[in-house]
Amino acid sequence: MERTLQRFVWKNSWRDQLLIVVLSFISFPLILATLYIPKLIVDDALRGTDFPVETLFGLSFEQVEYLLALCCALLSLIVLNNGVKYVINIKKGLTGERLLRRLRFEIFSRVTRFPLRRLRASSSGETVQMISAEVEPVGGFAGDLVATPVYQGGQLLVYLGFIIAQDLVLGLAAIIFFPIQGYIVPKVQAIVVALVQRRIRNVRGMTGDISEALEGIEEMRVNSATRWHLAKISERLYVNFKLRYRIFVLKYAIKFANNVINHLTPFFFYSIGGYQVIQGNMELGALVAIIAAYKDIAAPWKELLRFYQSFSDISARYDAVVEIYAEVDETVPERVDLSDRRVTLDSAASLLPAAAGGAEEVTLALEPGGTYALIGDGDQGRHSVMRMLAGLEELSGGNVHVGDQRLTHGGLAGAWDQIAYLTRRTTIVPGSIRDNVAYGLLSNETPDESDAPDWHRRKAEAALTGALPDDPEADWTDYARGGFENAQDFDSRAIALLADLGMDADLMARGLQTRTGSEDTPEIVEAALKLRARLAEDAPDDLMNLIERWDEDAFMENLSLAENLFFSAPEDPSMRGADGAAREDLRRHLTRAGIDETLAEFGLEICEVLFDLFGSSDAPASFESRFGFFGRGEMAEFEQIVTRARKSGLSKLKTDERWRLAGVAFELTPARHRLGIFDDPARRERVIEARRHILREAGKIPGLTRFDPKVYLPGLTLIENILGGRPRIDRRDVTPSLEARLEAAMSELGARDFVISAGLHAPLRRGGGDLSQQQKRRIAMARAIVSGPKLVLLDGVFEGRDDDSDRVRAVLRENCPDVTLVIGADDPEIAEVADETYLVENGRVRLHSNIREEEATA
Amino acid sequence: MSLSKEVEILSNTPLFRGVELAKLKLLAFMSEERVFHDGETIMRQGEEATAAFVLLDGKADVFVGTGSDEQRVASIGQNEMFGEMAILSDMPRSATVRASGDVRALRFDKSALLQLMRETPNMALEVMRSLANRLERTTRELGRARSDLALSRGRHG
Repeated sequence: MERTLQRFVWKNSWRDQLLIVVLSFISFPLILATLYIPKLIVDDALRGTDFPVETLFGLSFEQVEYLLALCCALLSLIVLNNGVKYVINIKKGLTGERLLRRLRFEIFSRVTRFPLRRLRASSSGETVQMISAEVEPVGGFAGDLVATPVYQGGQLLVYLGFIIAQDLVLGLAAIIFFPIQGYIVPKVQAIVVALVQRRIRNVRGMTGDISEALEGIEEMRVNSATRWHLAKISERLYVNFKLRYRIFVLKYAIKFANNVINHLTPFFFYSIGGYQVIQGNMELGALVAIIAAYKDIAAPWKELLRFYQSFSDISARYDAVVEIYAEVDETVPERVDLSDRRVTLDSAASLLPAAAGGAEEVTLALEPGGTYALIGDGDQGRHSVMRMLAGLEELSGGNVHVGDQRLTHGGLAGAWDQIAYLTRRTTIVPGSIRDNVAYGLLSNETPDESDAPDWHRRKAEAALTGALPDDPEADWTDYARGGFENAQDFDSRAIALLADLGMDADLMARGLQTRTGSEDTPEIVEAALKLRARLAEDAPDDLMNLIERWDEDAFMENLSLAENLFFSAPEDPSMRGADGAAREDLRRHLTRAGIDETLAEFGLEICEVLFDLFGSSDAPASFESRFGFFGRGEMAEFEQIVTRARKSGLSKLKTDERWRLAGVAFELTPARHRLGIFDDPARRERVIEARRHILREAGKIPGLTRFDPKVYLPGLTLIENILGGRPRIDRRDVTPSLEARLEAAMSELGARDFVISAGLHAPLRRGGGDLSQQQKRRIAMARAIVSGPKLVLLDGVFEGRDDDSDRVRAVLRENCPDVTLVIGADDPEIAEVADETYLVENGRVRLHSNIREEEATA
Repeated sequence: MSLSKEVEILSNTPLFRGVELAKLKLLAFMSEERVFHDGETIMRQGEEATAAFVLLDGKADVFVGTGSDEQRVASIGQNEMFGEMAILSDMPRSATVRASGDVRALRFDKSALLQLMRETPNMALEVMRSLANRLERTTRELGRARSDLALSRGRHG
């Protein structure tokens, strides 16, 4: 990273900077011309008498023609001049934005290479603040960095040279106060810069405080410590205020001084010069010339001073960034091959002292293919030793050997591509389960193809800003490294592996919950319809009593009222009851079926029950929206509607308000909400009658698909399509689950693989929010296995002697027979399966290979 | 079964005795109804816990152990809550529960139940009381089992 702002800007944009300078000089004669032509208009065209005039290119004009010609020339010069200005501004902006992108990318890429101990010591908020806010002005300024001093300085020198050539004394008189400004401004500006740097440090501290407070928000509330945290932030804000205040006081002070000094010069010219003129010591013409010359010089001088101020201000920000991000571990750890080689730690000590959870004097040897147990409390050194083996712990002493090779810098970091390290905190990356398994095989080379629409532009821009041109959406999986032929091969083996790890039911369940358009996946649609037909003919009882099938003549307990009325599902699953009630065509169908009034009554009744529930207790706001009747914050509006309806009857409400109530009723699913609205069979009959009317009269309704035994409904999940009905809400927890009961039927039709594959590719919620810890850990294990590791570290996961952990470890062994396995556990039981056992206590490790023998003798 | 009926049953559940009616209504509304037929498993030992149940109607049996080691250790009657222990401790299910005859139960989602407990100290207290009772009973049984074991060892040793 370049040490100074100038160097950073120049090194990365000198071509653009030069181009801007050239363009600036091109604009110069244009500006002069636009000043000169008005003079021609007044002096020659209006006051002139000598017509026709001969002009450039041998053209001759009469007076009016000449005037018009000059005006046209003026207009085109103005357009041209502003056109050049426009190009310059675009070029400046573009250069600035590219430099800004480069700087931001550079900062983030540096953060990813930070020594881990530093990352732990800093908060992510700081980095966000730096990348987003602090460097922002660099972009606006970078385009001016060369052009302004060159252009304005050049102008200044030209004027000055011109005046001095005319009259040395006059020239010197015009710049008499420049040295004073040149002395004062940097002095004050230095104070400003120091303040800017203090302000940045304070803001960094504040982002740290904010992240800290938010991370511990539960502790904060439980300990009633909110006020103290608020006080801390308040203090930071006060310091920030004080610094910012002082900065702008000084900035305006500089401005004040500059303005006064700039006007001081004419003051002396007028007073002393004027006195001299009166005394007859000086020609009036000379004085006027001096004053005019001074005006010409003052403008660029002012610009230069202003430039200097913003330069030092932004430079200070840049220095602050360099100060934070300059230190990076640039040494790439030497790659080391672990296959068939023994790994030894010899008196290794972590940088973290043993008292703080580190480990000292760690001596252990791992033979290739062996199984080792590391027993002890995680925080008393076990985690630290595991992290040493993972190449993640910085060592303060001792040696790491692989075979006879002594690893120097970074320890085992050079073997990261052969190490898998599983902890209780599994990171789930955005994407599907497949993406998460393939995460262990991400390529380090740029995937060359991409479908991104503006790919060429992206590539070119990346090259201009030192960023990566890679498309994150491309397939990053390095199939060859994991020994896979291609994506299909990877998928099928990943599915087999996940099944071995006990996740086939999860994949199946996920696959059954996916929604798929009938065009995207014709195989799945066809299989689903076949299966549906088959289940309709002959379905086992234990399956049928878990579902409610679509039945045109029955009121369905597990469908919403809207679905019941239209006997259809929306094609867009995000369509809410309120959306339906807002649609004119749906309103018309319901009105014709004569159920519009009834729906408003249902809605009113539901609202009353809900307000009774929420209103009488201090129900937290989140509960209102939990059940989908109202959107966030809509409750107050509905309360008003309900109050008015109670007072003066439903008929007094506006049409839209009545339909909003109907929209609430649309959401009601009797089996789920159990509000008792449909306890009366007559009401159910009303709904069925309305349904019959709509089915008979309405025809195809846009956006809805009718429940039809022969049609695939893209708005419904796969499982509903297969069943031709909806899983019963009140039978959801039955084991074996519906999905498991369906599996046999699906296998027979060959549909199982499609469904599981759909489950593998279905997107996960952010951070794996829809996965249990167990599932996350299994995915992490699959991720480890596909990467073909030589050393696997299980720190507190699959570390027990329960059937499940034993099975998962067996799967690992089976897939990676030569792997060296280290299991970190609290419970000494695991020693039973280990070749050697180490005990970790208070940061010390000792070999305890004979636990089994001890037990035998005991 | 409609909400009002469920609330009536909940108010007779020992766990919810101290909880005000409004909160109970809310709790019932937040729950979902489940039906199990005779012999169907409601929860299985070792599985992850995502919910607790209150039996509305019918009976259920509690089993410990798996496969042939399975032993019936208790039964659950109407108005009783079960499955809340694993939710509170974040541990896998400690026992298997199966329906004995047709069963109707209310299912409380883990997060909703925890939220309600956080907000209703009375209810948390009731849960603690019931857990303490259970612990006390277990401790007593353990003590008895130990002395039985010591006795039988003494006899054979």
